[in-house]
Amino acid sequence: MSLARQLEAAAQGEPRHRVPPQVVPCGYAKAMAVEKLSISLDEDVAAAARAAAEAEGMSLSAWLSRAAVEAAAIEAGLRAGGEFEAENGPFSKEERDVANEVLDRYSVGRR
Amino acid sequence: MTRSRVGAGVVGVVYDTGALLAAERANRALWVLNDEMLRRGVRPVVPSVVLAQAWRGGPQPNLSRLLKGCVIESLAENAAREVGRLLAAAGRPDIVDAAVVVSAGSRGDLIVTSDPDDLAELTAALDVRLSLHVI
Repeated sequence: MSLARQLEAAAQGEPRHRVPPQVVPCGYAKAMAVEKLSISLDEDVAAAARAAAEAEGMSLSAWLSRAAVEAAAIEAGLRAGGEFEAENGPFSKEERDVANEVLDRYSVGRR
Repeated sequence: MTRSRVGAGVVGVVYDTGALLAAERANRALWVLNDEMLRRGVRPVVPSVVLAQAWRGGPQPNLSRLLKGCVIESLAENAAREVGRLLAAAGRPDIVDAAVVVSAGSRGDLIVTSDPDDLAELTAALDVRLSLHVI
């Protein structure tokens, strides 16, 4: 899910993509340099992001940073899957359907 | 005691060692499942001890690729104590399997595994209901 899509989802009150609350990814505790950015968001998106951050007791910056980390990791994972397909052949519609049946059966990605 | 959070959040996935080894063997069912869950915005969780059991110093190119989309979950003190408690309750010795069950149990996640029998004994000892998908 792209960051833009994630923000849209927040604006529409949808659950953002999943970040396990108890999970502390290795490396997160490291002190990192902070780069200040000036970004532009639609008013609705900004309000939704601010509300989501408040609901989780986070600053808007921290919430957006986490959202960006998640979105970047998902994109990296999908690129890795693309590399796998390039070497091993593309997934067929049938293979994707079977995978989605499994995920649906266990409600993965849903509340 | 960590309780299941089924219903409280989005259902996710935890990989056990067998899932990682399947990925390295280019198991297509594992890879397409991984791809589709990422498309749903779900990053699979890999407890760090699972990675330790699967990683043999590399190069393990398929495993390395798979991990790019995963969350590597460190074993914090509370979880470590829970793992030990679970092993004692189940009379089992495998820390890695127990870490998988504790991780999934803390959120109510699906476990993707190649070895459901060992995990089933541990899930039975944990007072939460967990789903296992055999790859």
